Amino acid sequence: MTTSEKFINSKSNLQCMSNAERDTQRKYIKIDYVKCTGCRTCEMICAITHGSTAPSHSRIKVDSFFPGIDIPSLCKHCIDPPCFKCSFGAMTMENGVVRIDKEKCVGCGVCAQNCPIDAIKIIKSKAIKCDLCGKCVEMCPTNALFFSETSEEAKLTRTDKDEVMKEILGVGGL
Amino acid sequence: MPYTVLTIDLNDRKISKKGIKKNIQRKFLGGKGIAAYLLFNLTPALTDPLGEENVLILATGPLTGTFFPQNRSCIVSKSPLTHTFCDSYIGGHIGPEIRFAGYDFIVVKGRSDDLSHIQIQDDEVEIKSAQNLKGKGSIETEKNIKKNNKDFKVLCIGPAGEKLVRFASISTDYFRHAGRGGLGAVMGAKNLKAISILGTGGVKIIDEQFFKETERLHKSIRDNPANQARRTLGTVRSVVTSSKNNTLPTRNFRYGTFEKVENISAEKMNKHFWKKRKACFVCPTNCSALGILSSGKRKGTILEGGDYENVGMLGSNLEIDNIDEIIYMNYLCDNLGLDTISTGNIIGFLMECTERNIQNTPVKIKFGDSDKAIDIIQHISNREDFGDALAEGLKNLLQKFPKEAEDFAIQVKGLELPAWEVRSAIGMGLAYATSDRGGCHRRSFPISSEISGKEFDGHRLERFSSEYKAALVKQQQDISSVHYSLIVCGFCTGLIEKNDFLNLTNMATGFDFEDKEFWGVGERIWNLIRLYNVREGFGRAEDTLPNRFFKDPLPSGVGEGNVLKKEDFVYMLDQYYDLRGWDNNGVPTKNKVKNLELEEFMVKIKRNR
Repeated sequence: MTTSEKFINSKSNLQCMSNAERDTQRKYIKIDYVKCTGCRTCEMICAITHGSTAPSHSRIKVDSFFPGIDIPSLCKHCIDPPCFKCSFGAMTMENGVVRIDKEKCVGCGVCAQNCPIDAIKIIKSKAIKCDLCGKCVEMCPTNALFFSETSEEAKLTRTDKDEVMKEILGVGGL
Repeated sequence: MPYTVLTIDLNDRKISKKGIKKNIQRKFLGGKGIAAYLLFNLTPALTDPLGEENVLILATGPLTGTFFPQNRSCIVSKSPLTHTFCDSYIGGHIGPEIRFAGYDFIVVKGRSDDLSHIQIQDDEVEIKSAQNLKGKGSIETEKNIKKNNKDFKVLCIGPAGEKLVRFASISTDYFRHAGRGGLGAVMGAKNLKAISILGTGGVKIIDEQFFKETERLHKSIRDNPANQARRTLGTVRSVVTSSKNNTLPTRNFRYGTFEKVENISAEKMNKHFWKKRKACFVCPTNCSALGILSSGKRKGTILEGGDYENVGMLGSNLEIDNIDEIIYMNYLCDNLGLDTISTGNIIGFLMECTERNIQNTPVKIKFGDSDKAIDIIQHISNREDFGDALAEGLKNLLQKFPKEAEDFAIQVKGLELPAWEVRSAIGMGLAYATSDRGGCHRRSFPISSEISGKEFDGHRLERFSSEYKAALVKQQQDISSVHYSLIVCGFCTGLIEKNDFLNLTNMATGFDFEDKEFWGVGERIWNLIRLYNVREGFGRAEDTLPNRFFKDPLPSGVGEGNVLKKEDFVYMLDQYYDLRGWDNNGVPTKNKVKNLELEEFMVKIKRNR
C-alpha cells in the first residue's frame, strides 16, 4: 500500500504521518473543485494540527466566490520554488517537500511575496506554509482533497475561478 | 471565559464592549438562551418591533466557531410579524466569523438616520453609509461589499427588509437566510442594510481533548450510513416521503398529499439542476447544493439551497409542479429578502380566496399560476400596489377579509405555518400552538416520532392519538432550547450522542455541567421566553391553531377523513400546561418560576397589546 493510499483508506488514523514516512516520495495534494463544499474543515483541522484554533492561521485557504465556487489553495511544493529567494536560508527542500526552518526564519516575508499563489503566510513573525502532513486530506468530508503521486509539474499560477465556474456551472465570469 | 457583547448604538453611534457574568452564562448557556436574557432586559414591555427601542441581537454559542461539526448562529429580536420573542437561525460562515473577531454577541440598538452598513474587523468597528446599496437585492449587496475584501462575511437585507415587509429575511453567503419572523424588517427599521465581519482570531478551547473528540464526531457523521441521503439529496428528499405520509401541505393546506410530487422530488432536482454540494462552516453533512438552470424560460437562474420547506411552500402548497418555476421563485425570495415559507403560505391563501371568490381579495390568482405568483412576490418586496397589504403578513391581512377567511388562513400568532400538515400527525398541532415564535416546526417536531410509531417513555406513539404528545412536545422543546443555545444545527442532532453535547460544552468552556443541570437549562430558557411572551400579552387564547385543522377533514391519503378534534387539542394543551407547571392560562406558576431561578423575570399578565 502506498502512503497516500494508507491515508485515504485509514480514515480512523488520528496521527499525522511522520516526517520520515512522508518524505519517502514526492506527493501532491490535489483538489477536486466540484467536490469542494466550501466547509473549511481543512482550514480548521490545519490550524488545530499546527497549534491554533484560528482558521486565519491555516496553511490551506479556501477562497469562496459568487455564487458558491470554492477554491482551496495551498503550497504546491514546486520543483524550483520561487520562495527560495530567502536571505536567511530558511527555505529547505527534503525529498521534494518544501519546508521552512523556524529557527532561521525572521518573518521578513520575502518568501510570501515571491509565492505566486500566496501559499505562505506570516503569523507571529514566522513564515508558515503547508508541510504536507495530510491532515486536511484525511478530514475532508467529500474527498475534494486527495493525494496524487503523478509527477506532473505543479502549475505555478493561481487557479482561475472563472475556469472552475465554467466547469461547474457551464458559465464563467459571474 | 466570559462572553463578550459588542453593543452598537445607531442613535449616538456609540460602540461598547461588555462581558456577561459567569453565573448568567451558566444559567442560560449561550445562543438562544443568553439572547433571550438580553432581549428581555434590553427592551421594555410592549416595545414596537419596528421602533428604535427594539434591539437586534446576533448570537453565537459556546460551540460556534469551533471544530464541532455543526456551526450555526442566530438572530434574535422582537418579531414585527408575531410580536413575540423571535430567534431565527442562519448557517453559512457568519456565526464563526463573529467569534473569530472576538465577540460572542452583537447587539444593535437605535436607528440610523441614513441607510448604513456596520463593518467589523476584529477590534475596529465602523458605521459606514450604505446609500449606494439602497434598493439593491441581497446578492448584489453582498457582492458589492465583498469587492474590497472577499474574506468579509456579510449579513444583509434586500429591498423587502428596507421596505419593512413584516416577513423579510436576513441573508448571508448569498443564499442563506435567517428567514422566519421578519427580522429583516427590524434591520430595515434601523436603517441598517448590512453588517460585515472579518475576524482573524480563534475560539479558545479549555480542554485539548475537545479536538480529538470533535475529530471523532466529524468522522462518525461523515461516514454514518443514515446521513448519506441527506448528503446527496439534502432536505428536499423529504418531499416525496412527506407526501406519502400525508403531511405535505398541498393547495393551501387543504390536502396532505400532492399527486404530482414526483415532479418536484430531490432526485429530479439532482438530475436537472444541482451542480455541486455546499456546506456550512466545518459541516460534513453538506445538505445544501449549488445549481443553475441551463435551459428554459428561467435559464441562467442560480440558486444555492434546495430545501424541503421551499419546495413545499412554493410548490405543492401552490399546486405548482414545475421545478424550474419553484427554483425561480425561491431565487427571487432570496434575492429580494423574503421568507419563502411566509411568502408561499400567503400566496396559497390568496389562491384559495380566489377560488372561493372571497370578498376584498386584493389580488386574484389561481392555483398553479406561477407567473402571477412571481408578480405577487415582486409586488410584496416593494410594497407596491396590493403588495403593501400583503407585506403586513397573513394575520394582519385578515383584518380586511370577511370572518370566514380566518378558517383557512394558516398561521399561529401571526407566523405563517411551514410545510408540515397537522391532521395526519396531531402532536404537530400542539407543537405549532405552543412554539415560542408562533407557527414553527423547529422547536418541537413530533411528526417523525409519531409516524414511525416510536417508543416514548415506555409507550408506542400513535399518529392520530393525543396520548403522550404533550410530554413529547415539552421534551423536544427543552432539548432544542439547549441545542439552539450551543448553537448546533437541528438537522443532525440525532447523529450525535446526547452526552457528547454535554462533554464537548464542558471541554470548550471549562464548565463542569452535569447531565441534569445541563439539559435543565433548556426548560429554564423555554420558561424565560414564555415569561417574555406573557409580558408582551400572550396566553392561552393565542396558543391555538387555524380552524381548518379542526374543521376540514383531510380529503385523501392515510389521514383521509381526519381532523384534529378540538377535544383532543384541548386535552393535549391542558396536559402540556400541567407538565410545564403553567396555570390554565399558560402562565408559568410562581412555584415553577422559583424552581427555575427566574424570579426576576416574573411578570404580571398584561392584555393591552
